[in-house]
Amino acid sequence: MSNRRVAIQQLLLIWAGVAFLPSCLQHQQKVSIPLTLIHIDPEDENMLAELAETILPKTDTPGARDLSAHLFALKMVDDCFTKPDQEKYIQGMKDFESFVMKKTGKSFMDIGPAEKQAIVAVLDQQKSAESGVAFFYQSTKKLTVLAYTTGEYYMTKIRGYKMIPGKFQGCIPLKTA
Amino acid sequence: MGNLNDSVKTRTFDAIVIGSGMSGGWAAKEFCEKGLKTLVLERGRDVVHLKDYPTANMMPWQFEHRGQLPQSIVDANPVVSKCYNFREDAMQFFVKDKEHPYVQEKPFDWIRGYQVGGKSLLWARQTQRWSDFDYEGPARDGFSVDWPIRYKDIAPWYSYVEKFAGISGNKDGLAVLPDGEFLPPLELSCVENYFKDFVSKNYADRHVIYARCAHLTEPKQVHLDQGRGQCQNRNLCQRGCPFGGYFAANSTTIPWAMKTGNMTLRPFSVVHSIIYDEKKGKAIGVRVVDAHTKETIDYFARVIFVNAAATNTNLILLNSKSSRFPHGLGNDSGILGKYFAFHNYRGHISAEYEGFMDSTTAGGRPTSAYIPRFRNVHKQETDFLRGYAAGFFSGRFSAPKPEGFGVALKDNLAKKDPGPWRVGSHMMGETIPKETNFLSLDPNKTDEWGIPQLTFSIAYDDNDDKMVKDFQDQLSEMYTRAGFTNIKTSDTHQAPGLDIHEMGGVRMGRDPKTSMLNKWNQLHACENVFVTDGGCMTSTSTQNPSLTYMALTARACDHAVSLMKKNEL
Repeated sequence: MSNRRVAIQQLLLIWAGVAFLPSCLQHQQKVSIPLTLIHIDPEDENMLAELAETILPKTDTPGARDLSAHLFALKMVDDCFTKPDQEKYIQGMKDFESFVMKKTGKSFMDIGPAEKQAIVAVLDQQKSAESGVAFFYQSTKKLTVLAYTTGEYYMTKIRGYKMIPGKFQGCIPLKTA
Repeated sequence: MGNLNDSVKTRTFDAIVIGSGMSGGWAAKEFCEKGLKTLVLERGRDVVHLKDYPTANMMPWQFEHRGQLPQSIVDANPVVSKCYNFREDAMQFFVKDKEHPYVQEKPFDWIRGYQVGGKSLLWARQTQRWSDFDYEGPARDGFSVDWPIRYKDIAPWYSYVEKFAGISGNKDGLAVLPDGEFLPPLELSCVENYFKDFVSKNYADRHVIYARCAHLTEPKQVHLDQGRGQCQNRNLCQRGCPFGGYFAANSTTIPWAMKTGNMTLRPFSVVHSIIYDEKKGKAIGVRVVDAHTKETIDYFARVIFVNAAATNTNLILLNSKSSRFPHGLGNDSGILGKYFAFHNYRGHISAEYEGFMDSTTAGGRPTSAYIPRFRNVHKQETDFLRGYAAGFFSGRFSAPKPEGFGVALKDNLAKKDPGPWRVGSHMMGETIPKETNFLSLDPNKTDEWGIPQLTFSIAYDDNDDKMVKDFQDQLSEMYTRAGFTNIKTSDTHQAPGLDIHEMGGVRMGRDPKTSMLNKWNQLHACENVFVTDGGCMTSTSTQNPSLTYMALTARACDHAVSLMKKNEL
């Protein structure tokens, strides 16, 4: 919860900052988070949010959008990827749109849930090294899963994470663990 | 400057300790407790217990990169990035490569913590005593020089530091790893206990024990008096412990020294050299460069302890040149910087075990099991000298597989199959100190403070390679016979240094012609200068060395004070 509050506060700060920029610069600051090394459009960001949600949808547990997993993915690509991998990722993102266009005649944002799942089903079978599109997809999936599995909900509710884990018990029945 | 004499007076102390980490913290505590006005010089910033641990209570999801390092930091720090603890939660406690350059004639990964507390914030907290199999090693096997001390000389001091630091362990009754003053141990796992029993039944001289560690499993009054509490098994030690659950100078020795009112702690003090007075025939003080202002300031004292961590202790002595000592303080023999050694951590082994499938572990544990050295202990029996100890750990920690997408992916991620038991070991091999493994000063390059850069000419040798192979073979055999499967061995081929167990260069010995320090850690040729950090080590043993540095420091402080009382220093 507090984490989300912080995220919202940060967003508000960014928006506040944008308001003070000269109008001619405003159109350059359109993505929700500041990115230093990679450059994407707001449309790319929206598409990434949809893709992440398709990979990890909201069910009775939070989904990718609830976790802003796509923004986390962008942050990780921007900060933690090597330059060649950043380039591969951004190119792969463009190739992904072409791939979707070729398959469906529409952009990823404009197709329905069933078509989105069909696209993802194809790419989910491919290994990262196979193509630029596969690299983009598998990287996005990996980062979305990371956002989820290191997130507060998953760690505390599903994995029972406690910062103070209690005394070490060397041999207990698996059932009670 | 005003009144020069007044200024000198304010810069004069009974004792100066260079360094505030693992051993320097002990020197500060011992001197201050004994009533000496003590100046502690630290080249880095202050890190105040509790106050300066910014990440200590952060949840995993509160880290911007969930623990990972930004690529820009990896690129800017090719050396320190190799260290397992240099991660998003603890990188604030490591020296960044560019800030403090050095020269690698041969590859050496120099991992440093320039701050109050030094690397005692970051250590692995393993505290096994050395035995006479270690102290008698060089004499028996004909390398380095004979240690001027034996186990009986240091045993009471091991007890002394163990009681204050707080060491968790079992009384195992092994000659190769003497018992100490222990707080209760934590449990071993089912598989660790199985392997322990298997090994003791099937090998005459091999043992698996609970690895002794500097954690307060059950604090005593002395620990509560330090303001420390019980270890909470968080395993987040590298962030600094909000409970003071493990021994760090920051939580233990430094505040204890501060409480006496006798300590002056001066961070941002880069030591240039030790000042030698030819008329008096001894050292009179320490020359410091202020890290911020770059101003040179001299401080004076009757006794000087050098605890700058092995490598920088060598640097300071090499840079302390005078007409009496043109090659570095106390360096009449020309061996200063030579016979530098470390620990060989290259060998690893992992496997699985299919037993105890209905059992698992719970909670956290900041240590593991330990296999004391079993090679060449009583006599030479292999084609390499000395031997290795090994860690041994086990657990069921398979991460769920991220297979599929959509609801299926979420279901897969929610699965609670912990997988088989996984077991593993790493070696900690004794390396042989050699004249050809040495530190020196670069004749031209200096750092930002005008101090010559340290040059490393350190490498593995044939003995080390043979030992890696033997570790892999012996552990494979033990694992196989114990019924472990899917056994995999590896050799990291990591450069020396990444073990962070640098030792030697200023070794102890009986003869001033072949050693730098006497049996009390005093420079043979300049008796009011003591070295009690890793620099003093004559050989490297197979045990983690920090506990021995602590014991040697307390022992040397006691001796220094007794000499001062008799006016012999």
